[in-house]
Amino acid sequence: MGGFLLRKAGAALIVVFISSVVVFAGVRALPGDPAIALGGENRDPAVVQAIRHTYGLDQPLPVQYVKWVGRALRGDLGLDARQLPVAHTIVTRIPITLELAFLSVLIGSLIGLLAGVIAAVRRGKISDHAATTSALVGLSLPHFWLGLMMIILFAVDLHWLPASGYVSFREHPLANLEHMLMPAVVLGTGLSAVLMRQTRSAMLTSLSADYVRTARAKGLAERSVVGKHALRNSLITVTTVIGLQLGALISGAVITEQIFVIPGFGRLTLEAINQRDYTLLQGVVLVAATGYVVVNLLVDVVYSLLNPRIRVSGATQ
Amino acid sequence: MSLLEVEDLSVRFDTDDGPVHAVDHLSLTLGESEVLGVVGESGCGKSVSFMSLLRLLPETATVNGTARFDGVDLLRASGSRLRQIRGRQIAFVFQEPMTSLNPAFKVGNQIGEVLRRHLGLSRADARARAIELLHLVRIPSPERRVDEYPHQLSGGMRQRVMIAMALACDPKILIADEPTTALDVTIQAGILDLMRDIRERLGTAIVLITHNLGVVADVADRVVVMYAGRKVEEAPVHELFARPQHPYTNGLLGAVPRPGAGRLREIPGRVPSLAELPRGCAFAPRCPRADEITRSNVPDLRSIGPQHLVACFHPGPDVEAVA
Amino acid sequence: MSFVDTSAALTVNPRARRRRLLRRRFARRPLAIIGLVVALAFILAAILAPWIAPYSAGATDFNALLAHSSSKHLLGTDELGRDVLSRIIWGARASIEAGVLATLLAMAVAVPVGIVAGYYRGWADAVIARLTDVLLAFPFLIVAVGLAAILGPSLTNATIALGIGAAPALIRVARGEALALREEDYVRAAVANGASDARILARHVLPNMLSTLIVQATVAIPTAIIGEAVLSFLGLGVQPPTPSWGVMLADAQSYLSQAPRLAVYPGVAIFLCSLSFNLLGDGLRDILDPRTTR
Repeated sequence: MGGFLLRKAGAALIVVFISSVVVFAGVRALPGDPAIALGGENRDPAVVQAIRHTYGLDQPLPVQYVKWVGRALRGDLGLDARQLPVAHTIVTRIPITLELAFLSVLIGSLIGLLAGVIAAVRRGKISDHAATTSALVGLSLPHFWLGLMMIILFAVDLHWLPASGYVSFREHPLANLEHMLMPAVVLGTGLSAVLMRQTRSAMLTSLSADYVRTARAKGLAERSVVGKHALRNSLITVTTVIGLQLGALISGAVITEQIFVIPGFGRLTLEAINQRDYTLLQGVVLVAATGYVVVNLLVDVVYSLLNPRIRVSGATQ
Repeated sequence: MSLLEVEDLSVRFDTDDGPVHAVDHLSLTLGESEVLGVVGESGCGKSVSFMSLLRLLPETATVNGTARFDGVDLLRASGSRLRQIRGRQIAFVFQEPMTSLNPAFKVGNQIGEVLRRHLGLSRADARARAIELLHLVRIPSPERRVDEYPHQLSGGMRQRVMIAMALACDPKILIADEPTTALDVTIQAGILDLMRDIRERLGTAIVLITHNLGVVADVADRVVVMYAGRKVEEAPVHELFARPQHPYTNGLLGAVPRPGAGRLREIPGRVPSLAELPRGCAFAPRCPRADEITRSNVPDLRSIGPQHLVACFHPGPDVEAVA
Repeated sequence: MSFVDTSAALTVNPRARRRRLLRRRFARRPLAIIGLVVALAFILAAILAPWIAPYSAGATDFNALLAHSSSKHLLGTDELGRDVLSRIIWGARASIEAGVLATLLAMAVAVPVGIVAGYYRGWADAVIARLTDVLLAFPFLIVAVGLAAILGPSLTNATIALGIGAAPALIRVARGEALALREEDYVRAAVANGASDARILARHVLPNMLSTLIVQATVAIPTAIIGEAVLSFLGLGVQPPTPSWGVMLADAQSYLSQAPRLAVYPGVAIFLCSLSFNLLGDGLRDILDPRTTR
C-alpha cells in the first residue's frame, strides 16, 4: 500500500507543479497590463513603473514564478486589488464552500448509492426503471435551472425557505441549514444521478461475478450476498468515481453559489474574473487545482483501504 | 435408495435470439458416497443442469422437472429451505478458482462464513475450524494462509480453498464443476487425489463435471455422457470404457491419450448452437453413422446392458477404436 | 473416418446477423427511439429557425410586455415584448452548435491522444496521463472562465472551453479501449504479420472502438449543451442580444416573482434537449455493448 500511495502522491505533486505553471502562465496571458490595472486612475508612467517594481513585474518571468511559488508555499498569495491578502480572503471563503460540498456529497451519495444498489438488485423491475429514469432526468437537468425552479417554488410561492444568502453555522445553526438546504440539494442532484448509474453498473457487474454465485452456493442470505459480497467490491469502483466527480462539483459550486448568493469560494472565483483581479484569480485557481488533487489523493487512500489487492502486496507468492 | 433423484430436468434460457434449450429432459440419480462423472464438451449443459438444481442460474433461466433430495424437491423448495441445503447438504466447487473467491475478503473469512451461517460457530471457532479445513485440503502453513487474500494464493491453492469451503459443513453431496480445468497438469493430479481421499474418508457423494474422460476414468464409479443438453449415454465407468456405445462417447474416448492406443483422434465439427439444433439427433451432423433416420428422428434412451443406457439408433463400439 | 462438418452452414454471415440483431434491439427500446426523434427535432429546429420561428429573435412588441401566452405569442413575451417561443427556437442554434462542435473538438483531440497513450504505452502514456490529470484538476467552468477572461466571452470561446473540458474523460476512454484492443488476438496477429502501426490503428484499433466512441459522443453532447447554458447564464458565453437559453434564464432571474414562466420555458428546452441525447446515448450503449451482443 505504501508504494501505491507514494506513487500517487508523486503524481499528485507533479500535477500540482504543472498546474501552478499553467495558472501562472495563464494569468500572464490575460490581456492588459496588471501594473496599469493596479494603478487604477493613475496612468502616470513613473507611478506605473514604481508599481511594476514593487510587485516585481519588471523581473524575468521565471524569477517571478519562483518568487510567487516560494511565497505561496509560505501561505502568502499576495495582495488583491483592494490591498487585502488573497490567502486570507480564500481562507474565509473556503469553509462556506466546504460546508456546501459536504452537504451535497452527503445527500448525493446517500441517494445515489442506495438507489443504485436497489436498481441493480431489482434489475428490470419497476423500481429499477424508476431509479434509472430518475437518474437520467437528474443528469439532463441543468442544475442552475433546478435552483431557479426551487427558488420560485419554495421561496417565492411557498415562503418555506430563504431564496438566497448565507448565515454562518456558528451564529445560527438552524438558519444556516435553511439557507444551505436548497443549494445542497441542487448540487447533490447531479452527483446522485452519476453515482446511481455508476453504483448500479458496478453492482450489476459484481452481482454477476463468480464469487457472488459462490456466496449463494454457500447458502448465505441474499442480504449478505448483496450487502457484503457484491457491495464491497462495487464500492471499490464507485470510490474512484466520486473522486472524478469533484471537478464537476467545483464547477457546480461556482454556479450554485452565484444563484443562491452564497459568499463562498465559487462566488469568489467569479468576482475575481469580473473584477479582473489577477492576483486573486491566480490564487483562487491555484487553490482549486491543489484542492482537487489533494482530495483525489484522499480518494486514493480510501480506495487502497477498500482494495486488498493494493493494501496487501501479493509478494508472499 | 439414492441420495439425489433428478427427473425430466429441462432448462431454457430466454435470450434476444429467442429461447435456448440448454438442458433437455435430463434424468439421473446419485447414490450415497458415489462418484458420478458427468462428461461432455463445453456448452453441453452439464454445468447448467447442476447449477439449476440449487437454483444458481440467472433469472433468464426457466427450469422444469423435479430434483428429489432428502425428501425435498429442490426446484420447488422455499428460498429459506433451499438456503439451508446450499453449502450445508450440497456444496459446489466451481471451475474458476481465480474468480470464484471474493477478492475483497480473507480466505479464512470466506470459509468461516459458511460455518457461522450453517453451524452457528463463533468468529473465533470458525477461524480455528477454517485452519483445520485448510489443513485437510493439504494447504501448507494454514495458520498463515487463513489470513491471506485470494490474490496472494496460487490457482491450485485457491481451488483447494474452494474445496475446503465446500467441505466445511460436511455436506452429503459435493458438486465439482471442472475443478481441474483451469489448473496446471501437475496440480490437477493433486486435486483429483484429494477428491478420492474425501470420498473415502468422509463418504461424501461427488458429482464430477468435466470434459475430460481421463479425469473420470481415474475417480468416478459411474459416468453420464451429455451432448447438446441431453444424456446420450450412461454406464458404470469400466463398462463405458470397455464397451462404449454412442459414437460421441467413442469420439471422446478417441480423444483421450492412452498408452498404445495409437494416434489421438478428435471429433470434427463443433457443438451445435443450442438455439439452432438440428431436427433429428443433435449429434447427426458430426456423426459417421448418421443416416436418414438419424437426421429426422431424435433417438430415445434405451437400456443396452446392466445399468447401461444409450440414446442412439446405431449403438456399438467404433470398429477402428477396437482395432 | 467420415465425420461431416456442417457447423459452418449453421451460422449465417455474422455481420448481417449482428446488424439484424442491432436493429431488433434498437426497435425494442422505445425510449431510445423517442430520444432520437426529439434530438433530431431540436437539430431541425436549430437549422430551420428562420423559417419556423413565428417572429425574429429580436422583434419586440411593446403592446405585449411580459405578456401571458396567447394565440399571438404561444409562450408569451419577455420584458422587452420579445416572443418567447421564437427565442427558444433561435436559442436552439447556440445550444446545438456548442453541443456538437464542442464534442467534435473534444473527440478530435482525445481520440488520437488516447490511442497513442493506450497503444504505445511507455513514456507517451505517462506524459499524457499527467496532462490529463492536470486538465481534470481544472474544472471546465474554471477553464471556461479563464478563456473568457483571456479571449473575451463569446460562443466560440465557450465552445472551445467546453471541448477542452470534455477532452480528459474522452482521452481516458480512448486510452482504455486502445489498451484493451492492443491485447486482442487479431491485433497481435497483425503485428506478427508485420503490418505497419498506421495500418493496425486504422484497420483494427479505430474501427473496433467506434461504437464506444459513438456512445461517448452522444452523452458528451448534452453535457456541453448544459455547459453552454451555464456559461451564457454567467455572461461568459453567448452575448445578448443573440438568443440563447442560458441568456434567457439570466434575464428571467430578475422576474422570478413577476413572471416565473420566463424562467421555466428555456429550462424545459435545455432539459428536453439534453434528455433526448442522453436517452439516445443510453439506448446505443445498451445496444452496442459487446458483452451483451451475441
